[in-house]
Amino acid sequence: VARALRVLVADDHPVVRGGLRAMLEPEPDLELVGEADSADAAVRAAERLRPDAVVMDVRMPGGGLHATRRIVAARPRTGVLVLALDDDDPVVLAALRAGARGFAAKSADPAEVLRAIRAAAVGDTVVTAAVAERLLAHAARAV
Amino acid sequence: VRVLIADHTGVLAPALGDPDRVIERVADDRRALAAARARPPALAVVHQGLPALGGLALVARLRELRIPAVAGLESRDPAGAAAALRAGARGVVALDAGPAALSRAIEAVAAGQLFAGPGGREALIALLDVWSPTAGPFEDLSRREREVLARLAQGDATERIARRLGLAPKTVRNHLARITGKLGVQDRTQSARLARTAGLLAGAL
Repeated sequence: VARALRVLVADDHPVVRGGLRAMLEPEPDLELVGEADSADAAVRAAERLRPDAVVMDVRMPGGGLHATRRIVAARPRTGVLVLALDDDDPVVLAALRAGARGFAAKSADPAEVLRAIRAAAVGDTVVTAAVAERLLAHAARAV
Repeated sequence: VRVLIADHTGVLAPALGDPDRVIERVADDRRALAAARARPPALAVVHQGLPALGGLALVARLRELRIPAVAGLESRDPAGAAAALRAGARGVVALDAGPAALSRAIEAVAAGQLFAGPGGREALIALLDVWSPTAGPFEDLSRREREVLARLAQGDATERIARRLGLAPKTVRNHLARITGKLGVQDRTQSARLARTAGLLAGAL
């Protein structure tokens, strides 16, 4: 059996952290190794804990995308999944440009979030279905 | 989930043990299209090197049939991933990434997601940039046109743009004419001014 994927959760809202903790707890292949409540704390924790994946709130003190850039610059193998209240295209693109390997809206189905965490941890990049639909509609018009 | 596998090599076979998947296998593009029309799958997995015309041609045909495709790429060269995504692939994964990666790609694309395996990330972002509706007045420009425009905005002359981008000067002049038309301005000077105003510079592409 492969070792569990190590996950760091970074969000300044205790309720969100608690929700993610509860989601990760029953998953045998995902191990919550730390929590952070600010961008700086997330960068420091990522340095210390070397997680496979970081679940990163986009609007956190210090800036989730800023923290994403720093974490990925320090250790490019870290899979950052950016979590946001909405999934507007500019936010999604900014997250990916900052180095995130995935994006999930806080309204997303927990199963989809768990799948995105696993994907980011192993090096895949995933754009969730609703965002993909919109972008493909734009693409169809642009071609 | 009904999956059509278009693969002449057998390399895709080990990934397909999942009992939830109903598999149909074909070894060339003509048979793949016939199968896709007769029994439309939820998605197709296509080998890049598929006979006779290559896998990406098949991906483009499948897109016309509204069948999403995962392209199995023969190398991790980002250009291959970019070409596959432009052809309409919803997922790209290197064939040497292994059965687990292919399985993740199938799962993601079946769920309606866009997927890039290791190495495909940059190509995916570049394409999303081109698609993004957030580019303002430059929305209708192709990526190549944006590159040409960005260089023009920096003050490069036609010859220099051609050299920097590896194009013929005539091609650059054609791009510039199209850009002027798409932006709805009078000439290239106005195109350049508009681009500078919007901060469209090569470093930002």
